[in-house]
Amino acid sequence: MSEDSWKQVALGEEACVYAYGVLAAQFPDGPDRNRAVDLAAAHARARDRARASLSDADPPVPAAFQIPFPVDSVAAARRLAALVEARLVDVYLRQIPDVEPEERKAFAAAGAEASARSVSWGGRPTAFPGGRDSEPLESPTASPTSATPAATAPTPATSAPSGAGTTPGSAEPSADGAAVG
Amino acid sequence: MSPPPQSTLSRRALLGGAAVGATAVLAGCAPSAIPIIGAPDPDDEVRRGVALSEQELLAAYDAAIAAGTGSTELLRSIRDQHAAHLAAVSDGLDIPVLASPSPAPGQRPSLRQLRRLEARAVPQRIKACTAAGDADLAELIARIGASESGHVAALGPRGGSA
Repeated sequence: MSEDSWKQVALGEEACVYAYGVLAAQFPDGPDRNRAVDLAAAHARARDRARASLSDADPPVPAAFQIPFPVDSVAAARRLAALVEARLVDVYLRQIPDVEPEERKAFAAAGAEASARSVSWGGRPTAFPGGRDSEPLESPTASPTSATPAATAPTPATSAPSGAGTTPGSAEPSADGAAVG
Repeated sequence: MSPPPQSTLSRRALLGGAAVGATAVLAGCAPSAIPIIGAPDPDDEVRRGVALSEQELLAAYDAAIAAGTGSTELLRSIRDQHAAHLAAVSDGLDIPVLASPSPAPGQRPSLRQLRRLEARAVPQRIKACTAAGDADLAELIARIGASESGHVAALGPRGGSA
């Protein structure tokens, strides 16, 4: 698998870590908050494995990501979780043509688990997840400005990482919600 | 997401009943690059396996919808997604593929059974993804598996009873 592919996986996982860090605060103490915290940690481990596959052992990371709508309610928090997981599906699955057949299993599994997590947060199940039809099902009921379309994932607000690192994302962030099996 | 390549289909369509095992000799081609005309494409078996599984899922959803199981809107949506999967993997296959298989008489799958069928399909798709020779077909099958993984979640306590 190419260096660029690993960079994309590392960046996708980093976006999830960032998003869960933002959205977890919207949940009151309880299962959703615990799940968000656990998933932030699981995505961080997957990010670290991806970085370990890069040639630069300590790649620069974005200082922040642009979140496409205000995250000021439980509904918006769920919407953001569904969005970042849906975008992560695409990050993993679009690497499949570039990996060796024996490596596909981990990437396909990681994509499948992210898809389950997206739907479990309220995302709409789709025929071919990861494409442009992956917009979350629920819209936040919060402020008027939150009507901004959620068609884009969090994007780095600063320069992109120039990557370095190491290992694949085994299908790890299955932390809970994966619902498969 | 582009559909799987149609090279095999095109070859068949162009050659019609060409003799199996015949070879085409093209000036300038290395012997190893000469295709064996009419040789079965191993990916056809991969696609056929996924197509048959999708037909079974379609039949299960048709039966569940007919029986009034769960949310009709949700089940119809998922059913249509399986139809899209079937169309994507069976396009060009020279085997009869039923567009809308009939549910078995008396079959009334519950939401739990549908969820179990979906959960069983996910590892099957991942296995088919690794078996595919064509990289784009592998990605397509992986996306189908991810879709079915989403169905498992949608049919869970929060979605399935809606």
